[in-house]
Formats: sequence, structure tokens, C-alpha cells
Amino acid sequence: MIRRARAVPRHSSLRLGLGVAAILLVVAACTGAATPASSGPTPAPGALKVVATTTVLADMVRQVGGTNVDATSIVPKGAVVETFDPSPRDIAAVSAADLVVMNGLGLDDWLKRVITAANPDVPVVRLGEDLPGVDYISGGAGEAVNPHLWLDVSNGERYAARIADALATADPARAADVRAGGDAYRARLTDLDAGVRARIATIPAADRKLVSFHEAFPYFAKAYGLEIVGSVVGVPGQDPSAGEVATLIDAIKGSGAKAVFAEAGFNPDLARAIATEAGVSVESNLYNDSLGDPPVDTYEGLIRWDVDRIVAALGGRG
Amino acid sequence: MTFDPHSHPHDHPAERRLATVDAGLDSGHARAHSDVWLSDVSAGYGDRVALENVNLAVEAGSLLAVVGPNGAGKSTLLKLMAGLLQPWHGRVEVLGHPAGQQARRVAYVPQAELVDWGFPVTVDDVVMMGRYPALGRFRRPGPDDRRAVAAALEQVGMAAHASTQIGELSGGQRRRVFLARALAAGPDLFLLDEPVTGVDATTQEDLMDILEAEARSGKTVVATTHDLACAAQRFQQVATVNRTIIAHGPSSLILDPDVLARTYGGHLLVLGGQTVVLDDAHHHDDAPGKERHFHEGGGSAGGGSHHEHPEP
Amino acid sequence: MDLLIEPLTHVFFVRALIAASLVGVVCAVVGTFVVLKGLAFIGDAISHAAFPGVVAAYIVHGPILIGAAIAAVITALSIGFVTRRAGVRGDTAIGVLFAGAFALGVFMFSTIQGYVGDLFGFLFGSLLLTGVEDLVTLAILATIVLVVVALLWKELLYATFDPQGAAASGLRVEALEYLFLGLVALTIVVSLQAVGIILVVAMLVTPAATGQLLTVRFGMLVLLAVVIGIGSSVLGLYVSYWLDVATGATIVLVQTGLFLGALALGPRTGLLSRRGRPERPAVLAVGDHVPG
Repeated sequence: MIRRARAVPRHSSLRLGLGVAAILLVVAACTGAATPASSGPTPAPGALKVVATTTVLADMVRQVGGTNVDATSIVPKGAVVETFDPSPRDIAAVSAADLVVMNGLGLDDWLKRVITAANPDVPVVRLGEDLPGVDYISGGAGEAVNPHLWLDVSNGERYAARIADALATADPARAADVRAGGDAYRARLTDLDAGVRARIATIPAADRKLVSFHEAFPYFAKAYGLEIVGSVVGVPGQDPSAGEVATLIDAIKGSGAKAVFAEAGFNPDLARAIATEAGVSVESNLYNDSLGDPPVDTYEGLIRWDVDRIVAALGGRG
Repeated sequence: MTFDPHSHPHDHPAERRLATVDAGLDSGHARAHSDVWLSDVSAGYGDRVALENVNLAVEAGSLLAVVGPNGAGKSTLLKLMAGLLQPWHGRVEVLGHPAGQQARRVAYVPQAELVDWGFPVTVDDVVMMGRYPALGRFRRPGPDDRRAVAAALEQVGMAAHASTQIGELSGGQRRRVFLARALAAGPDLFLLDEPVTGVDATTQEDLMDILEAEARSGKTVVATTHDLACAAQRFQQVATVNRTIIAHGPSSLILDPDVLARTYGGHLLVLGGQTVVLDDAHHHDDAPGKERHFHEGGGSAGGGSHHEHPEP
Repeated sequence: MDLLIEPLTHVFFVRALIAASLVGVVCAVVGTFVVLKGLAFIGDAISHAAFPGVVAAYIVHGPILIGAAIAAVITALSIGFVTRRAGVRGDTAIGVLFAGAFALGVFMFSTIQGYVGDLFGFLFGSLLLTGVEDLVTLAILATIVLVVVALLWKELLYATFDPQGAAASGLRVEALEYLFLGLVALTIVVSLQAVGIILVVAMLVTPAATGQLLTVRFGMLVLLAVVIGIGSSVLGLYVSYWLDVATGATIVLVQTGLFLGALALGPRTGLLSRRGRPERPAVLAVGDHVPG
């Protein structure tokens, strides 16, 4: 009904604006839930809802639990975990979770506040904390301990064991299934571990030196016989100071490292600048706490990918 | 020559001519009968002296005009009386107490320019503010207050505009509203800074009628003004100011060329038997942009079109 | 309607709604006076100056709100002091001081080794992470501020409108000024959790500014500001939930949108006004104040 009174907005731009707003609301209402599970089997109805912080951890949960779990992650592919700011949807996902899986050790501490606010009683697994059999490496930059355990595949195995325990406790009805899945996964990881060791061994001893973007690789290096010359970014989210950059460049030149490794998702310019200055090559596609597109869409794929890149850059074979 | 506030001035015109107010005022007698009493006061802003050696006693029930050139200290004098400014030296007593302490019994009406006219308040709201001092800290306005507000609006002829936002009022209407605010407070002393400056003749008449009525009923009214004709015709007493009190006595003093000369610093012109006072903006070290204005001594009502600037 | 109900099934959302509404009310009430007194810039200064307080509290592992409150109140009173002494030039001094204070905060922040994620919440707000204790603290502080404003309502009104007249009538205008600045500081601290340091001045100023475009009556102005404050918080929360975006920023964008809408369409300045211009008398009466 058209009214001619002055009260009706005469401007068509207002009606346009209202229309746009209405469409936005409708679209929003149709938007689905949190990050959908990408690879992996379709969860069975009534599957245990597991929320993990990173895509890596979510993949591990899926590999262990199979169709018994509906695993989602909060930090999307390619984002920086340490400084992540959870969105409303993420918080809602935590509030609906049956089990929360996180790394701990400072990598994803922001999740604690979310848990307290959204789901204080949910069981939480801190995979990296007090893990038996791990030789912890102290963290740089004020962290007590470096959290990047899983890059040493034997730690990945330990993670898988913990995940299996947690799933079994949270969902006793499917405990047997879950444990079987866990055992199978761990067997694959053992093979992977051996494979990585062999391939790294093909790098000439003098060239087994690593300069990485933030301190993600100490456990990897220690496990597989590489030396870490230094890292580009001390703490993610804070750029290195001029002094730190100069020190790093000197260290690279002095050590004879052949390449700087930057991570997918970080600004490669900084690494490239340092590499040019130091006269070495740059490999800017390593992954550590976040998956990518296939073939880096599983933990195993991530490890293989990184090893491929490192071996190629440092002159190994195989 | 000692100035005796109790003698009736029209008896001794010769003495009036030389009337300077001096320290003889410090007598308890003068002080006890005055609503406003200043003794040896000097005051200013920063390092600038605005007033010095001021001695003044204003009797209860006076209708006093304070006149003087721009920058002479008229507004300063009023602020001292209102307790808004502390003197550097000397004492200011109002209604028997140091200035500023009897604020509930004193209504100060500032120059119109200094208020935010876009403020979202109505005429009613503004006049009600006059009741706040009496209400004290935590009470809300009640029916008595509303009655007082209505009566004050009636008195100034603004009852019909009670719900109008003040920004929509004309200059004259705004003056009426501010006077109504003062009236609603029911004070014993009115201090008005340029109340009739720059308003139309009708408003001027109406406002002066009200002030006269208040003085007649025993209230004391002190108002600054540029309008010498109005001061001479409508006020009972006048005090002329130019950094100090030059003269204080009945309003016919204004017609005295000698008083005018000493108050307005010699910028005097005699044209065809009429004395015209020229207030030269450059004579005082004030902010630039003040314009000249003309007054006729003893002539018709003044107040042509001129732009007023607030005195510091 | 499922759009409205579904988020309410999450306790964290309900807490966020309550917190946002409380913040909306307090900011609207105090913000009305901030807008009328022209203190928006000072409000921004106080909120930025709270940052070093937040960082310092974080470094010594003390309660962050207390650190923010101390820094905010000190800044507020100092600004009051500077403004009174320096007059117009005060706004330059304020700009210098608060930028310096914020830089101090960034400086201290850069010395922190390790995890600093919690601090980001104070820069941009973390409404959805409001815990029960946060809510209680918020409610208490908000109540204190609102009670003080209610008690001193007419004094604040008089002193804002006509400081000279108010002083002459016996009001202690200077003391009231300092008290009010302290209230602004508290309001800002209360609102930090909702929208963070960067955006809190928007919550303080925009609802009242919008109200000003819609009414000339003081009482109605405050009422409108409160309604807009609560409404925009609720709407912003829902929109941010469904669009999965930053909550604080969404609330502020809603408020800004309402302001622009009122500007474009409102009775005083917009298309619906008879003149389409702000009210000014057609002829300046002699002696009228020329604004500017």
C-alpha cells in the first residue's frame, strides 16, 4: 500500500539500503556452522563432537576416531595460531563441544578464556603438556617450553595415543573402535618417522643447517639431526628488532647455512630480505601448526611436504 | 571629600562633581547597611589589573547602574560581587557575608553571549535552574518550584513560550528568560551583566519595569550597562568605573561632564550643546575588534545598532 | 524466530547480551553529557591512556581492570587540570599527552616476552568471553556510575549549560568538573571489555550524538541515547554472531549507521525536516551570540 504522506521516505536509496540489509540477514541465517570438516570420513550420526584448536590436531583426531568423531578446528588453514582471535562462531562451537583438544604450552592459551566462558565443564586434553617420554626444549622469548612438539613424528605418535585415550574416556561406548583406530594410526606414524630420518640422512652432513621462521623446528631438528642456526621471528605477532635481524644475518653467514625457510601464511618478504642479505636461498612454503590444501591437508602430508622442501633445498636426495 | 551614602545627593551638586569614594567607607555604619560592600579591592586576570582601589557600598534596595568604557572593569566588578572572582587585595562582602557564600540569595545573570544556545533545554528547564540552589543537593523540583517558575515566566511575559527550545528564541526573549531564572530564585540581590544591551526598546522597557519593581520591594539590583541614557533615566544610582570607582551617586551624575570626562578618559565631544562620549577601542589594551559606540548624554534613549563583545 | 532464539541457547551469548546492554546504558547516560560538554576528544584521550595501565597490570600479573582504572582516572584528572589552566591550548596538550601515554603502553607491550593474546582483548573488546565475575564487576561499577549521575543530575545539567550562572548560584563547578571526568574514566574502564580501547569513545559518543539529531528536549535526548545504546548493542551482537565477525566493531558500526540514518532522514537535519537545515534564526538579533 503506497502512502503519500510525508512520513514515507521519498528516497529510493533508503529502500535500497533496507533491501540490502534484509538480504544480508537472510544470508547470515543460512550460513552454516563452524569450519566444516574437510578431508576424512563423514561422521556417523551422534558422533562425539570434538573441537581442536588447529587443523593439524583436528586431522589427528579424525585419523584416530574415524566416523566416531565429528572434529572441527578453530584456527583456519593458514592463520597464525598464537595470536588468533576466536570469532562468535568459534565460541559457539566450543560451547557445543563434547571434548576439546588443544596443544597447550602457550601455543593456544587463548582458548582457556573461551572454555571458561562458553563451556567450563567440558573435558580438555592438553596434548603437549606433561607428555611422558618427551625431552622438552626450552622456549625462546620467555616461553617456558617450546610448544611445537608434533614436528617430531615420535611426538606425533604420543599425541595420537593421548587422543585415543581421551576419546575413549569421553565416549566409552565406542572406546574399542577408537583404540583400534589409534593403534593403526600410530603404526603409520612410526613408519613415517623412520622415513623422515632416512631422507634427512641423505643431506650432506655439513649442510644440515636450518634457519626458520619463528621457532617452530627445534624438536624436528633434534630428532632428525639438523642444526638450527636461528629463527627469523622470535614471537609471532611481533616483528624482530633491527638488532635481532642483524644478529641473524651474521649467524647465517657464519654458519654456512644454505637456505632460509619461511612459512606459508607469514609474510615471505622478511625472510626473503634476510636471505638476500645473507646470500642464501629462500624456501617459503613450510608448514608447521596449520594445514594447507592437498597434499598438505593431513598431518602426515604436512610432514612429507616439509621434508621434501628441506631435503631439496639442502641438497639431499630421495 | 568624604562620600556619605546617607546624604541625599541632589542637595549638593558641587560636591557630587568631585565625588570620589575613598577609605572613609570603611566605617561600620556603611558596611552594616549595605547589601554589597567592597573595601580597597583590586583584582584582575593573570597579570592584567582590571580594578584597583575599589571602595563601594551599595545600600539595600538600590537600583544601581554600573557604567564605564569597554574594558573598564564593569563585568569584573560584578563577578567580584557574585563571588566568581577572588580579589587580589581587599574585601568583598555581600549580604553580610564574604562574596560567594550567600549564593542562594544572590542571582547572577551573565552576559547572553556566554551560554550554549544549541543546548537541548526549553525555557521551562532554564528557569527551573534558578530553583536549584534552593533545592539543594538531592531534591527534585516539586509543585512549589513549578509554581515559582510559572510566576517568573508570567512576570517576564514568556509564559506562552515555556516549551520552546532556547535556541529558537530571539535575543530579547532570551534576556527575558534569563531574568525569569533570576526571579524564580527569589533572591535578595540581583547582579545583571548588560541586561538591556542590544535588545529592542520594548524588551528594554519591560525588563527595566521588572527591575524597578524588585528594587521597590526592597531587593537590591546592580546592573552593568553601556547605555548611558537608560542608566540616567531608569536607574536610581550610578557608579562609574574605569579601573576604579570614579563616581558613585544618584544617576543624574551621568549628566555631569566632569564625571563623564574622568570616566571615559577624556574622549569627549561636545556637539551642539549635547555631550557625546566617544569610547575609543584603542584606548584600552583589549582584544581587537571592539567597535566604537556612541552615547548621547542627556538625550534620547541610546542603544543604536552596535555589536557588543563580552568584557573579560 | 530461530535467528533470535538460537544464540540465546548459549550461556556465553546471554552473558554478552547483558554486559553489552549494561555498557550501552552507562555509555549513553554519561555520553550525553560528554557530547553536550564537547568532551569527545577527552574521552578518546582517556581511553588511549588506559592502555599503559592495562599493560602494566598485565606485566605485574595484577588485575587488569584496576590498572586500566588507575591510568584512566589519573589521565582524566590531569586533563581536567590542564584544560583549566591552559584553556584552548589544552586540546593540543591533551593530544600530545595521550599519544605519549599510548606509545608508552606499546613500548611496555614490546618488552613482554611470550604470550600476549589477552591484551588484544582490551584493544578491540572481548564481549563474548565475559565471565560471571566480569559481569558482576561490570554491574557494580555501572550501578555506581549511574547512581552518582542520578544524584547529581541537575547540578551536572546546570554546570554544563551555563557554568558561570551555575557557579554564581553556589554550585562548585570546578569540583563537579573533576568528578564528572572521573565518571567518564570509570565508564570507559567499564566499557573496555565490550568494545576495547580503540572503539570505546564511539560507544560513549555516538548514541547521544544520534539523539541530538532527533530531539531538542534534554529528557528525550537521554532516553533516545539509552534506547540506541542498548538497541545497537543487542543488534550488533546478533549480527556479529550470524555473520561471524568481530563483535565490538559490529556494535559500533550499527551505531554509526544509525547516526548516519538520523542525519539523512531525521527531523532536524535530514530529508524529513521542513527546511533540511539545522535550525538557525533567520535574522540575528542585535547582541545575539554568533556561534563559531
